[in-house]
Amino acid sequence: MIRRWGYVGITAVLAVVVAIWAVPELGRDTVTFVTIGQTGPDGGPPLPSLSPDLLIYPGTAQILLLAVGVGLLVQIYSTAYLGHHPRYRSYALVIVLFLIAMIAVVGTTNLWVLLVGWEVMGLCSYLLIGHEWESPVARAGAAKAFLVTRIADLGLVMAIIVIGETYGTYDIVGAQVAQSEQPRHATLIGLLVLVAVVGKSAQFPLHTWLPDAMPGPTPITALIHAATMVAAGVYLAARLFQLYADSQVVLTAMAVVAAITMLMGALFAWVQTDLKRALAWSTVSQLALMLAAVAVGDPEAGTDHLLAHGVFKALLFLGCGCVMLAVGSSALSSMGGLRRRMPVTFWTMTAGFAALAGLVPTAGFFTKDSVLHAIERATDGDRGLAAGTAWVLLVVALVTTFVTAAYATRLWVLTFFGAGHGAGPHGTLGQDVREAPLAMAGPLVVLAVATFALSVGQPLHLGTGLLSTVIAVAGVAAVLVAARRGSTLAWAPRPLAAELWLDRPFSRWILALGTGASRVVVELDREVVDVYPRGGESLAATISRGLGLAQSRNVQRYATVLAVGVVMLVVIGVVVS
Amino acid sequence: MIVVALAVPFAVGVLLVLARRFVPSRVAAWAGAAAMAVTLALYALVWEGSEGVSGRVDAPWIEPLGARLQLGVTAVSWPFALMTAFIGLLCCLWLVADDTAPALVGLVLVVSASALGVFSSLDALLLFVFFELALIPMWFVIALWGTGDARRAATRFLLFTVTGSALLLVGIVIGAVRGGSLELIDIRPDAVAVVLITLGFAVKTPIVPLHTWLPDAHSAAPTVGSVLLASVFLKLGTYGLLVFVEPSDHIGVVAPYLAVTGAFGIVWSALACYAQDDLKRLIAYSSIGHMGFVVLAVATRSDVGVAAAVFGSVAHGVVTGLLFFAAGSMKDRYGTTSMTRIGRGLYARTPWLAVTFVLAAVATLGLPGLAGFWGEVLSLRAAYDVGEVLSRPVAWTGLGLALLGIALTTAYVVRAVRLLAQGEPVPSDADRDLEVREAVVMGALVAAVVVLGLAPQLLLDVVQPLSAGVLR
Amino acid sequence: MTIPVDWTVAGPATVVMIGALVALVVDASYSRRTWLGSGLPATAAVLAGIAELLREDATGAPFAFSLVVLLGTLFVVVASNVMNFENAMPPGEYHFLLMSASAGALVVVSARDVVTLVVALELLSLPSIALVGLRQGDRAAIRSAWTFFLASVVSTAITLMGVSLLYGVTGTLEYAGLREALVDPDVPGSVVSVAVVLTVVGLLFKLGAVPFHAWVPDAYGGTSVMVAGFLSAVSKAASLGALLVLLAEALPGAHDAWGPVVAVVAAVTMTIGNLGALRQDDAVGLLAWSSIAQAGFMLAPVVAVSGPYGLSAPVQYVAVYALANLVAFAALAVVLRLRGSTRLADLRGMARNDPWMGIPLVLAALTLAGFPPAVIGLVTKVVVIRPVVLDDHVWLAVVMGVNVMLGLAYYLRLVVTLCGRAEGEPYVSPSPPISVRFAKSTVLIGSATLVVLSAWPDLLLSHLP
Repeated sequence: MIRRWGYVGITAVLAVVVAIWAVPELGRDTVTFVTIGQTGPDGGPPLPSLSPDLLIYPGTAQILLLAVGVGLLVQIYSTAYLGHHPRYRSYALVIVLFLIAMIAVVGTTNLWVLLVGWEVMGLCSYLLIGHEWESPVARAGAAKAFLVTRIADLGLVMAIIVIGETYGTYDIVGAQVAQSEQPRHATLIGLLVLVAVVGKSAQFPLHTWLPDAMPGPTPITALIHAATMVAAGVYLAARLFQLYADSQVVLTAMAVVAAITMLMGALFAWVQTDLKRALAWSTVSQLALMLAAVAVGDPEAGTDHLLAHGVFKALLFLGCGCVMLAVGSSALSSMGGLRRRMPVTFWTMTAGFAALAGLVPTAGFFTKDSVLHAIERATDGDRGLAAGTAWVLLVVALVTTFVTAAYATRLWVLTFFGAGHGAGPHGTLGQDVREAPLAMAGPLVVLAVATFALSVGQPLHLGTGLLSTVIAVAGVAAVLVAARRGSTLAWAPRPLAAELWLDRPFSRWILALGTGASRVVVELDREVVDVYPRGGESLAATISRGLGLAQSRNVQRYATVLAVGVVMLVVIGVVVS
Repeated sequence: MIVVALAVPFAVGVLLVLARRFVPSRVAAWAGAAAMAVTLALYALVWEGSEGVSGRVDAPWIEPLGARLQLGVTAVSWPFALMTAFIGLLCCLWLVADDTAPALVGLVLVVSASALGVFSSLDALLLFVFFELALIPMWFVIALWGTGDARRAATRFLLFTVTGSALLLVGIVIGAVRGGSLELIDIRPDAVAVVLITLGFAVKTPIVPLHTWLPDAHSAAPTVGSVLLASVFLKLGTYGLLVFVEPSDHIGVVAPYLAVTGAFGIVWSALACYAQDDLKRLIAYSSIGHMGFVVLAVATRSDVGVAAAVFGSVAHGVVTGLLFFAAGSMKDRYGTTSMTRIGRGLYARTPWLAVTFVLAAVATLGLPGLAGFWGEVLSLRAAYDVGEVLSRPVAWTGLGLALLGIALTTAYVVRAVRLLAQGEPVPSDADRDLEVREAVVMGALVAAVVVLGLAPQLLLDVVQPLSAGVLR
Repeated sequence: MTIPVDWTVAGPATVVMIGALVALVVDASYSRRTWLGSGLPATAAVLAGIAELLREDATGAPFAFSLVVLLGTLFVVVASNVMNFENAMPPGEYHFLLMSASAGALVVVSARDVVTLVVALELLSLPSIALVGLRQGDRAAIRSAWTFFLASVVSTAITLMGVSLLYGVTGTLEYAGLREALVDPDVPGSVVSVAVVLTVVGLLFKLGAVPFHAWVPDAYGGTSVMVAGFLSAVSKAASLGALLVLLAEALPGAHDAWGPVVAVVAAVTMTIGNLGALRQDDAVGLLAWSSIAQAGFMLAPVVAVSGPYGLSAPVQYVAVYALANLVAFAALAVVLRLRGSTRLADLRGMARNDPWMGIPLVLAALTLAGFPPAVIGLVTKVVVIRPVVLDDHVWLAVVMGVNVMLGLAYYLRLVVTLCGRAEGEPYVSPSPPISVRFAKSTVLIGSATLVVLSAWPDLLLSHLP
């Protein structure tokens, strides 16, 4: 027990350090630039190095606090949730490493440090998703997450190289300064960054790894979805926004990706029969919303929503963990009627679902409102994005708002209300279903409070606010009415239930292609490439044997060879001379 | 100083081979380790700075040929030399066991010292002598202490290499005739000579399609043999390309082929890795891929390319050394390196070994923050830059292939980790975690991998002033 | 026509010839035909010949070749003690023929006119043929001698045809006269080409170059090992020297005619020789084919005979080659005497269980292959490739490179066989004659020389021509 809390202590120390460092920056207008090492664009880009330069501004400070805060809560939560696991030590240490990597990504101005943090996060998520590596599902999910994100990360690697070659520095601030003087290669850089973001934040078409990552322990899912891994993608898009802000191609591509993903994710979330997986799809959808904010030229709105989403999604996942611990499964069919048995979980998650649905007065409402407002402003067409694209984006976002409210309500209803589908044979819940222990319930309360507290001081845009509230309430109401009428809320058309078969290229075709190609290569390596040495060898051996046989001690034959040789030599001598 | 640094391992090595009947195993290994430690220390101390040549030794040798006994290390060769001495030391430490043949330690010393000689030679003929000197000892290391069809694998290795070196010899002579001297800085290979020299080193590096000797030799060799082959021998090839081909005015003749075959090799070897069951063969193929990055970097003929090649070579030395040591540990335990026969769940069965293996594996796929990454990313940058001699389509083709290769590399590494480290554990009687000597050797390499990964400047600062004219 | 007697040239040859006669007489007058009876006078004569040669204080390629010939002969004579008490080998005749051939070799190198050359070639050839067939009651040896003889006759005839054509075109047979006559533009080019090529054929035959190589494996395999050593080292050095002198002194004007011929012959010779050696299972057979290949390497720099290294390169190469080959053959002679076989399978592990013969054999193989640690072999490979490159025969240099590789394939096979782990204890003759030690000492002295030269190649390269 003491050892378990030791890891919490480590995380707490980390959190306190970050807090001491970041909290004073929250209210400050000027940028603090901590130069520990040395950088500086002088001529060509220097050879890459990991300089420990740090940069904090209010936006990054918030995200840092979110990361360490959620991390600390997850660590506390885990002592109860996973405390008896034999491999708790590696689990807890990897979480710490995960947080350090996230801090590196958010806090640095050096692109290489950012990349290191970025990839170490990928590795940590691989290790954590695969924490239950005895189970094939966890192994496969971890491998898929790592592969997809890493392949997408090549975009970031190339983006960094291109930034270095273009602006002569690997310093984000330096590059931004150089960019403001003479912008170049915006489209290339932007598209490369977009590839990395799409992979990391699980956007269409590289979204399929995220739902498959669900076999990981639930606190880890919370960490990945709320504060670290996927959030880093949107953060990166916002952070490097200036470098590609001039490129309409990039912004349009980003908007298209965001539009497709937000609606798709929301629809997929509706049809899920598994609470955790539904929440995962909701993350995909919400991240797309943040990306849309970046695409319409308001990265701050995106990071604000990132912050609010981080809080309420962590709350939802941790609550989901409590429910799972209680009923022993994450399937919605085994839940229901938990309202009374688990009041703390119920009330906190209710706040979380409200925030997800975008209802006043949660933080989710305000930040989503900011995003919608930003999109609405972009419909005038002079913010980099074509007006038509922005209109489409706005409509999709509003539709998504409706669907989001609907599925949030559906999940809420199916989890906490009703007779209890997962109950025992007598129609009542088993005796072992009870409220989660303090170490788990406590973080839920903290996060629920934060869900409301973060709305303090958020801007309100009346027009979009009203509109979105109306839409969201309509969504909530529709579901509630349907539920009251006895609907099982199981409307799930086949294409949606199959998630549009978008996973098929990854799970089957690419795999089959790779396996096939590798078999072919091995065969070719052995049978074709190796032909020339083996052929040369056998040719030489054959000639050698032939020469041996030619030594027949037959003088006539020797004389013939000799005569022919002389004639040929004479010919060579005469002809060449 | 360099003379002593070379003489000590040579002398101890030859003595151990001669006195193999009279020396106890552990004494032999410790003597070897001591000799390599001395060498490593001397090489570390000899450094005078990136400008010019450190620790120069210059004595007349073969006046009529214009060959001199010139030794010294430059900004390019010093990292190679340090890495070689380090790996040699670890190989000797690895052999601290009761069942070690003293002659094997001796041969390891001779091989390491020969490689050091190559990296320290400033004269082409001397370099060539050292280049060849290591081959026969290596043949014995593979053939006598290897497993499986070791004799055939060793002979293939030897024949491939001497084929290359014979062409190399002609290339060097042509270069010396055109340049007027055998000193490295004077050699001026013409187009034909560049082709010959490139072919010679391409076999050693190896570049696809001249690589087919490598998987057999690596998988058949004993653990230290595999480590030396991968960490040291392949570097003779890349070092040769760096020293002979990269500075040549005629590199343009071979550069496009180098770039494309090098990058193609990354993809090819990654695909081959994906289908391997034998862990050592997998690592062997992965080496081809890593060398592909180095070759691509060399082909660009730029300062970044040189830095990439040096970093890539050194990083590959430590990373692949670590992988082969881990594979050797598994072989010692389970008597096989077949991944299906070793079985799943090493995380549970031998946790530290598994963790070390996974770390080496993610280092080999080029995870940022570990040594393998910087060489790759510098290669990518060099290719993106196009460099002096390539055309943009060629360089970017190489770039694209390299990126595809990185993706595929991730795939096979993840597969290997899934097959070995993860999965429902099947305990076996042979499960036991790292011994002290294994922990020491692997710990040293892990430290090197992490340090090089987090502080690449340590090495890059050595190489960077290259443009100041160390090697033209 | 008078043939002037130049005693500075003829002196060593005469001394050796006298020694040959003395050896024969001594042997004939002894009733017990011991080896030393004729061996000692022969040794003394060769030493006297060397003294005579060095007394002249001469330099240049002919001197160097003469030195190689005499030292080679000395080596063979001493190492031949291994054949003591082999009843099939008559010592008196053996030494007489050996010394006669040696004298012929000396004259071949020193010849300054074509007639002397042809006569001397015969003086070299005929005793060599007799040596090959000398072993009594050995039908294989006699058949080998017979093929050797017939092929020799044919090639001599061809050479004579060439010589007469040359005389017909230029009206002179002296090298100096030929040299001047051939630059005359009136001389019909194609006839000169034919004449020159035909003349060269005889020397190429002695050298064992392809396509005149067929006798080599037969003769080497059929005769005593030391005779093979003599043929491969002394006889080959002499014919190479003669060829060089002829081309450099008499025929530089016809370079266009013989240049391509020599280049092609060199390339083909080394390739065929190496390929032939690849699958030999017997060490002597392997060395026989390898000496064909080595002849190609010697020939290659001849194309650049008028260049700066045209003379020195072949001399240096042949000196090292001769030494290494003699060490190898002498070691094999000892092995044959003690173990009764020179098959590779029977040599396995010799460097371990008989290091005094095994390691010299390894060293010799490495030298011939041009592979470190036998640095001198590598250095002489560089030495012969360099003039070829300088003369812009890059293709030939590449062929040489390929052949270095082919050569390595079988030399290293020999090396790893010798160094490998032996399977079981080899048969060793229980009571070898004491004189085997003479042969062993030559092997050791020879390999010591190779070691010294490897450590300090300058010793040879700076001092031989």
